[in-house]
Amino acid sequence: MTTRGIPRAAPGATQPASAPPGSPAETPAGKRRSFWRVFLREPVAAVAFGVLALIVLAALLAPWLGLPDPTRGSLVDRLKPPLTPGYPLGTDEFGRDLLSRVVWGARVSLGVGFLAVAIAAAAGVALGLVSGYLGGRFDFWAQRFIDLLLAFPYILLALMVVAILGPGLLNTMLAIAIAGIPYYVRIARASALALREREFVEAAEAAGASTGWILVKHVLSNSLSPILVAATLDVGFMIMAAAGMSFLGLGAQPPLAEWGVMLSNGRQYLRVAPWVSLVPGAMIFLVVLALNLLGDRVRDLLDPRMVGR
Amino acid sequence: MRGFTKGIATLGLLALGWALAQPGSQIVIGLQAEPTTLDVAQLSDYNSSRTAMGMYEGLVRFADGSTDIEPGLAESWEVSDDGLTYTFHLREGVTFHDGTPVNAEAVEFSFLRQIDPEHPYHDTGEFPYAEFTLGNIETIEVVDDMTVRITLGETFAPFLANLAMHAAAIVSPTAVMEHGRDFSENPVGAGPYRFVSWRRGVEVVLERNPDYWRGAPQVERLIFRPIIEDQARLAALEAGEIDLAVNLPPDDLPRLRDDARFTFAEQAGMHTWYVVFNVTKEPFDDARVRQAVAHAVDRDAIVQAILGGTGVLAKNFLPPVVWGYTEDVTEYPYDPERARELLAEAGYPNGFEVEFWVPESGSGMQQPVAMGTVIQDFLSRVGIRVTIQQFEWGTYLDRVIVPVENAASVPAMFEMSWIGDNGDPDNFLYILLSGDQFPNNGFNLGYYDDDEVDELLRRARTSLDEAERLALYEEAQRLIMADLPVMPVDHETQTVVMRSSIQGFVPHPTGVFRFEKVEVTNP
Repeated sequence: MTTRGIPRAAPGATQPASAPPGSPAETPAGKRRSFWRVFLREPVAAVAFGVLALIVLAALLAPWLGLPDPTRGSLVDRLKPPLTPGYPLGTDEFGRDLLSRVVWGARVSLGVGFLAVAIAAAAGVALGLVSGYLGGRFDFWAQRFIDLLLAFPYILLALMVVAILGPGLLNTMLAIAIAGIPYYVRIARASALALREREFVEAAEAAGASTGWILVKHVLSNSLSPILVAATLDVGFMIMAAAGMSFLGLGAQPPLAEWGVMLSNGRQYLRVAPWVSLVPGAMIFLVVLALNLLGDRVRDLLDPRMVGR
Repeated sequence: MRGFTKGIATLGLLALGWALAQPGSQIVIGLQAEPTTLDVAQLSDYNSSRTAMGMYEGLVRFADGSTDIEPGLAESWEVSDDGLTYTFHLREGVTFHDGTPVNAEAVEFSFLRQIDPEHPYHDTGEFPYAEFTLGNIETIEVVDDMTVRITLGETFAPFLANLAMHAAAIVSPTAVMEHGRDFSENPVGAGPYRFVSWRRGVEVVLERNPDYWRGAPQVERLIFRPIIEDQARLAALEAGEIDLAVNLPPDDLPRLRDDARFTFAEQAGMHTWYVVFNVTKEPFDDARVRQAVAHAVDRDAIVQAILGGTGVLAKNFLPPVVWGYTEDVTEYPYDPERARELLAEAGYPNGFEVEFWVPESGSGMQQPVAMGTVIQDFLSRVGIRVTIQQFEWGTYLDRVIVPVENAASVPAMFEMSWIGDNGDPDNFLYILLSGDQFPNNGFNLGYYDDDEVDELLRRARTSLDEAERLALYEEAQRLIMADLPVMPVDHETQTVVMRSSIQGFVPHPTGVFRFEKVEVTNP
């Protein structure tokens, strides 16, 4: 181990380095398995997990499910209601199979949601940790920049980014990711501010560990639980945001199946064929609800004040 | 569901009746978008012209329901034998809404303001139609108070028809002098209705002109409200918030037809919805590729399914209601096999990738995204991989109407529509497909440039012999449809849905609304 200084500093510390409970960095494999068991003990979380797992699985396996081409329609069969033979969920305004579109759309919508969170979290956490840990002038300017971003309402900021980058699914994902960065910066910075005063961090500093090492090994690993909770809850939000942007015509372009676009197009046929909107709407509802329930459960389990619930 | 809707409708009506408990008859019209201007010389879209045209009148005008010319502010006129000089005798005793008399000087003012860069009031607006409508005028001469003489630079067959167009309407010089650029928000003409107020984003209110020379209209007040969403406009109509609407969702029309509360007025429009090929770009510089696209797309299915019969299949670029129309042109029936053969001949046996621009909405664009998506689907079946790019209408027009120097920035194919202004084939074929009419002269947006077609169109617009013009236009249509610089899809049938209490509303082929003969009976 390179940080040989730690054991020497430890006896003087009032708390061992592994103190923050539930810190994933310290969780052994066995404990992880029991975490899942505890996690799914709550029936609501178990159902939410099941629903989400089913949708993710369907999305991943879409090419092998034998569904019709989601972009190809038959105008003769347009606006058929659900349970029509051959079209379990009905067809849309171009006679395209809604089941197929919803399943293929899950790949896009979920993919965009998870990727946007990953980008926002990676950038936000990096900036927040460095900013909170280093403090000083860097912290000042980084925070002013974040204040600037926060001054704009979320959707307006995302719209501005799309206006600069141009419409399209990839740009929309980038836009909502960029607009989501401040959220993670704040969480990570708050965590880093608290951690840098802690004895094990000071001990590492005293022992001469490099800043990068301390940031990754001590600050990041001990900030993971609030970030994880935030990210879980945020995936649902990002899916909604991406759907919202597509709803405005800025995201996915036809004929790509994406839930927001499907919802938006179906709106025109709400009176004569409500299922065209209801099917993708229900999917967004289900996924976002499931993700929120799971996020709540993750928070309950990781929050030290709620241990044992 | 139906009882519920009716309940809401009744409630809405009651609320509306209570809120607008004012005496007199009125009609509330649901527009697709906010008017951009009410200055008749600056109109360039349906929403503005439908709102504004009731306030103005020109020297001549189109008769009700047709593009025949009938006298307007000019009682009579003479044309010289060489076809170059027009002398108009104005109607006595007509005044604008502000009391200014309609005289020869007002005519001179209205025209010169648009076409003479030296005119002191030339800076009171942009005049997109000035060149097309009045560009041939060489001189305007005020002979006496009630006589005006117009001399043309060269003979121009559709000149009288052009004088019935909106840009040739006569405006009150007093009002323009007083308001300058703000004339577009303080319009004064000599039409059957006069301006009351314009609350941006809410409504434009007009009231009847009791001194209108044809007699005061029966309906006292017209209110134009922009409701952008088709579904919202439909809901407003059913709830009684508006009395008359256009461009309702085609799939909802059968339901409205069965509803006794509403009546329909339909009119085969002077309209063509088409796909423009940028012929300066590969692969559409090759006519076989353009023909392949036309064979690959089942345009009849688009008209039937997506438009629900609110249009008729376009066999020709020119709409059937415009004189000179012929069906003796090359046809492009749905035939994917033929499309693949043509692609292979042109050197694209495996198809190609192409960008296709589509507006989100727009006047005359019908269902632009849905139609674009179906075209994309059909083209994918013959190997043409289409990427659709959507734009907001204003942005879209800025990006596709560009001078030929920047032709490279215009995509290989994009959607467009044209609504005839004066019922003459010149207003379709010349302005949209002549090599002289690249933007910003005209609207030849795909830069089609064929010497033979140009020559035919040029001769046809300067000839005064009807039979000769007809022959020239028929030949031009044959050449155009064989070469296919654009793919016409349909001619929209104007479909106006209104409360049954509205009597006597007849849509005009030019798409403007006329209310002076309309009556509202008590329901």
